[in-house]
Amino acid sequence: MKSLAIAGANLRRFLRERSNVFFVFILPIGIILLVGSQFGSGFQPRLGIVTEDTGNIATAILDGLGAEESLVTVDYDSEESLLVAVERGSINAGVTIPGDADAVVAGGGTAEVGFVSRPDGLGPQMQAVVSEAVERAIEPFAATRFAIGEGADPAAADAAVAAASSQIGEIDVRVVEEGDALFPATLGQFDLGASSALVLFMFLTGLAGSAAVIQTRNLGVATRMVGTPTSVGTIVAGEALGRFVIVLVQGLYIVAATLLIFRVNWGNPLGAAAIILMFAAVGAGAALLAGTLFANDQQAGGIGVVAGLGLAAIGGSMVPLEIFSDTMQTIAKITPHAWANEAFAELVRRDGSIVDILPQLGVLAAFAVGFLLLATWRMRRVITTA
Amino acid sequence: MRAALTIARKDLSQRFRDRSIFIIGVIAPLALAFIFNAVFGGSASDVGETISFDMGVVDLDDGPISDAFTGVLAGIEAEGLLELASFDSEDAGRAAAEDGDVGAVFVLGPTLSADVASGADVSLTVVGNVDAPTTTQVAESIAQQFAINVRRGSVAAVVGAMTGVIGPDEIGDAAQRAATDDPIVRIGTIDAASRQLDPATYFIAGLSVFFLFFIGGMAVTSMLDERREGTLARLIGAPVPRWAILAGKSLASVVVGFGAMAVLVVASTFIMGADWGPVGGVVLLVAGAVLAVIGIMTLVGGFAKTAEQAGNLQSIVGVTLGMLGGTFVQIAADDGILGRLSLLTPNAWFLRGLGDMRAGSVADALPAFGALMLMAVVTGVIGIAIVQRKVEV
Repeated sequence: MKSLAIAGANLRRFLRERSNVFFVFILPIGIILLVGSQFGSGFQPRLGIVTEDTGNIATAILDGLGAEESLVTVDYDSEESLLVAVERGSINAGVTIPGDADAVVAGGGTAEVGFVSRPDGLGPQMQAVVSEAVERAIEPFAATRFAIGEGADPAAADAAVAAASSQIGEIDVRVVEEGDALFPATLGQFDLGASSALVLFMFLTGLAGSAAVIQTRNLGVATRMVGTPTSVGTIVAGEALGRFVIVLVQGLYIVAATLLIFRVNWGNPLGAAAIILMFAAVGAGAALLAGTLFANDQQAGGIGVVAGLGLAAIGGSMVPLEIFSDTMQTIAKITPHAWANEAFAELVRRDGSIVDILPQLGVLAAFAVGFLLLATWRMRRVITTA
Repeated sequence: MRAALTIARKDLSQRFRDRSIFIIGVIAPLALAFIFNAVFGGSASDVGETISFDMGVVDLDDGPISDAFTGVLAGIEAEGLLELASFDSEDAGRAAAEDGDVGAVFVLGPTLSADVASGADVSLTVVGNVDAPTTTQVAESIAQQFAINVRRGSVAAVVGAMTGVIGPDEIGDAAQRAATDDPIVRIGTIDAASRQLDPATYFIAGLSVFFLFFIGGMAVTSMLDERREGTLARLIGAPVPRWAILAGKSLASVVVGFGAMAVLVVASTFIMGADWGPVGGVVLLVAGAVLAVIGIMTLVGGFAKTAEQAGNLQSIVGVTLGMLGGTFVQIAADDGILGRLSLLTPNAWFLRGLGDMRAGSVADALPAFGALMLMAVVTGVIGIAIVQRKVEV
């Protein structure tokens, strides 16, 4: 009962602080929106084009690139402006189409289409797409030149090429995928970002709560409570319960808001609820532990942000665990985030149920219990030593 | 002036005695940049290395076309770009792709050569493992390139036949010759310097400015603290010009900001191998960033009545600008809404200035420096005007 009273007092203190509304309710949705819009589906690479020519070959190449559905083309006036745009990253790659292509090819030479991309980024993929589109576009010109080289009359070769082209069948490359996808194509734009941001923010909010624990301690409130017939266990339980409710409410709010605004798929509801409950307990435990470790709330604030963001990064809440190196994947296991992210991956991407995530839930429970036991032990020391 | 300096000196010694300034200004950005770099930096730095792709081939055709294709693959394998395995049946090949033993498998059907010779529609199949998208993509490009060459050869040979320069029985040979003829168009690569920072530098530069917001707001918060504690009234009562109070406190913030950035630049260069670029340009950009951040934080703090309120407002603004400025999620510098919004933040201009110096010299940092100074002046002037009114007790 006393624990409930302590928890209630904590909640009231939390709600009275208006900036909490921003950090707990507005910021997470903003981040999910930001991540989804930068990395989500619907992304089409942008190809800049500079052309100096309206000859036959140049026109064919332009049409070929324009018909390429996997990219968006943007026209540039000069090679310099194209280059700066590529270097800054406003376009993913650029192409320059030479002015004298027709003449060079007629003279038996090789015309050169310039391709520019940054050393990092999408360069190789874009180059493959561009090179295929260009090769397809110039097929008739190459065929004519070959026939002329063999002795054909140029006018006759030009006349024959369309018929020849339609006579030869298409050689189509078909791609089939096998295996279970880590990131299935049905994954919504915000699905991946939403669950990892949920985990990040629940833990961060938990840690930020350590400031309140420190205040309770430093103002002597905790020491005075021990002076009454109240055990340290009851105080820890009350403080933990307060943090638990705040973190839980934030978790549920993020799920509800993203469900409504972005139509995020959270997977099996029972499983998702179980992860959120467990992770709220982990966040509360971490808050208590941090609250007993640091001397003042500025220190806890600074270290809390570092720990909250750092653990989230290591635990796969900023970049998915699956693309980590093997070593980093192993290191990630020390964070509760990794286990929660793995559990969500199971639910959302592999349609798992609560049974499939029992191991992860177990580990999260162990984290929560471990944090709380350590916090109780530390709390007894810090409030009973002057 | 003397009074302002005295106040600055007093503020500085007060802040250095409180260790949290070191935690927030120096240790936090370094620690986070170190973690981010360890977690995210690795994947980006692998790009330059030669990677070998695991692929397989199922040749059910065993004709001239499939021989030509396996010849192409063997050529690429000899360059060390792929490791090739052979499978006897389509099922074995598909199973290997499904289990991830190979990233992608080419399936050459039993009638491939015959179909190509007769001009029928043909398909080459690439079976890719879903989790090896790059290998699958590379395999697809190899197959596409081959398909395009074969088709071009056939079309050329048929044009030759139609114009009477190639006999009907020579078409197959001619097609092969045409497929390997000199190309009429070649793709040449133009070098682009990257104006983007390497991951280590990007993370530490972004995080330094992000945490600068949390130490740059102290001029206003400490004044509000003094007002609450009654020491501000005493200062006003002393023979100290009013402007000197805010000036002294702001000066202390500038010194702390510069100090923290200097420590971060030097420390990250040695610890993480960050490459900030030419010293002169870095000094300019740091100066611009420190002043812009202090200007913004003074303006924001001006709307608060108590130090707690100011601190909270400042954190909200700092976090929001940090996010928009690309501290945690890199924002593409395009003409989209986010790309434009991001240019309202000092964070983005600081990073852009450092990036632009990559492609050139110190002069390339000047536009970014100008943008930062403009922000500093606009927000600083309005901010000082608002905060100055708080000194009128």
